[in-house]
Amino acid sequence: MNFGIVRVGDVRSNLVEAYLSRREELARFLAARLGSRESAQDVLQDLFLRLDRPAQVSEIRDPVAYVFRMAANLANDHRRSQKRAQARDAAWASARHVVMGSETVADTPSAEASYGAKQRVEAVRGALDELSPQCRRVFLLHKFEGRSHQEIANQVGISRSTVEKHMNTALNHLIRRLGRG
Amino acid sequence: MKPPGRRDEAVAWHVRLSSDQADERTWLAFTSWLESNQTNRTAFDEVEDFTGELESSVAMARDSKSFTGPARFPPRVRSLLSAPYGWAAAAMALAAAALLFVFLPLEPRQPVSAAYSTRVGETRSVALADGTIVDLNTGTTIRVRVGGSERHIALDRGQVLFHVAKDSRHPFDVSVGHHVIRVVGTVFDVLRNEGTITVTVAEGKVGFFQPDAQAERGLTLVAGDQVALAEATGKATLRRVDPSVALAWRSGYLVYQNAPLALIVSDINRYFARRVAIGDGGAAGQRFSGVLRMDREDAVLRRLSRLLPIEAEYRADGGIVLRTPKRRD
Repeated sequence: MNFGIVRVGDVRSNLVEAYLSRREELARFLAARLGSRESAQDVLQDLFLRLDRPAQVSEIRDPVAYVFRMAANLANDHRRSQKRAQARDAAWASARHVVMGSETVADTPSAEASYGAKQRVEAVRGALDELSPQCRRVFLLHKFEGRSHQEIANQVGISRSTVEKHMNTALNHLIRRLGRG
Repeated sequence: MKPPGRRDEAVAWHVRLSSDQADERTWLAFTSWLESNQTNRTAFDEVEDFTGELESSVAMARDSKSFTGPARFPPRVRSLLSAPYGWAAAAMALAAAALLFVFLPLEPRQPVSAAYSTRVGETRSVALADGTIVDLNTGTTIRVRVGGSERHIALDRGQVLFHVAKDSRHPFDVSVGHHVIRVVGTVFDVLRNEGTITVTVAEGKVGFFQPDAQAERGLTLVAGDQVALAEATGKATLRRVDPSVALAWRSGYLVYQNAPLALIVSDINRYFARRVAIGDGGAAGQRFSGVLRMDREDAVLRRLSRLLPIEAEYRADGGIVLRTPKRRD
C-alpha cells in the first residue's frame, strides 16, 4: 500500500478522454468480442460508469490501451453473468428451497469452494511439471505472482519474445490437458 | 472441439494482449481477427474462461490460507446445497442439519464457523459468540469464525458495521481481499464494492494493513477517519468524515456531499435489483448533495430526477438509464 494522502476531488481523468475519443472503436471491439451489438452497448455503458472516478491516472502510460483492457475485462464479466443467470434459471426450475434453522443457507464461496480451488491449482501445477523448467517458471511468475512480461524477462534473463513463446507453450499445454473439449 | 490452429491463434492473442506493450493497434488488430470468423470468438471465449477460472482459483486458494479446516457440513448436507433433491431426501438431510446445529459446541471451546449473507435490499444483525454485533447491509456476504482464541471475519462483498466486544487478549481480525483490519474493541464500518475497500471508524482505533505485502506498513485509523483503498492498485485515499453521516445507512438513509452521480448510481445498484446506468456525459457530470432514503428504486429515481437535470428511461430489457433530458422546443 502506498499512503500518499490524496485530495478527493474532481479529476476529469485522461481515461474519460480516451473513452470519448475512441468510443466507436470500443463499440466495434465489444460487438466483435461479444457477438452482439446490444451486449456491446450494455458493456460500453458499464465501462463509462467505471471511468468517472478520481483515479490514479498519472501512473497509466497508455490510457487508450488501459480502457480497451477494461472493456475486455467487462466483456468477460458480462459473459460470465449471462451464463450464471441461465444456470440459475435452470436450477430454480427444478430445485427446492431449503431453510436450515432460522437462516437461509448462504450461497457463498464456502470451505468446499476453496477446497475445489486448491485442487484445481494442484492439477495445474501437476500439468506444469510436464513442461521445461524455464517455461514453467515463466508461467508461474506471470499467472501466480502477477509479474509483467518485462519484469519476467529481466528477472529470468531472457527476451520478451521468449517470455511470450513460453506463455504460448504453457497455455496451449494446460488447455489441452485440463480444459474442456 | 475447435481445430487446433484456431486455439493456437486464440492463445497467442491472449498472450499478446496481456503484454504491457499492447497498444491501440494491437486491440484493433485483435478486433479484426475476431470479426474475420465467428469461431475465432468462441475459441477466444474458451481461452478466457480457462485463464479466468485459473486466476480465481489461485486467488481463492491464497485467500483461504487462514481458513483451513474441515469442511463445514457433512457430505449428505453438502450435496443438498448443490443439486435438486426429492422431498423425502430433503427432509432427511434437513433433520441431519438440525442435529448438526444442536450438537456443535456453542461455548467458545472450538471456534464455530458460519457464513452470513443478505440479498439485495436486505439488512440483518447478527450477534457473535464473543458479544460482537455485526450489522449487514444490502448484498453482503461475510464468513465468520469466532470462539476459542480466534475472532476472524472475512468480508467477501458488501458493507458491515462492526460493534466489536472489548477483549484485549484476543484481537478481532477482518480480512477483506488481501488486507486485514485489526481491532481490539471499537465501532467501525467496512464497505467492499466495485474494487474499492472503504473503512470508516466511529469509535476507538483500528489498524489496517496488508499481511503479505513486502514492506509491512499499515495505517492506524481513529474515530472520524475514513480510508478508501483501490484493490487493484493499492492506492489509498484518506479523509476525515462525520461518522454519523457515513453510518446513516443503518437508518435507511444515505448522505451525499458533492458526490458524482456515478457514486449514487453505484449505491442504487447495491440496494436494488434493476440495474441503473448513466447514459451520457452530461448526466455523468452531475453532482449531488443531500439525503436519499433508499426505500424503493422508482421512488429514489423520481427524487433524483426532481433534484437534478436528469431523467430515467426504463428500458424493455429491464435496465434503467439516466440521461440529460431532451429539450422540448
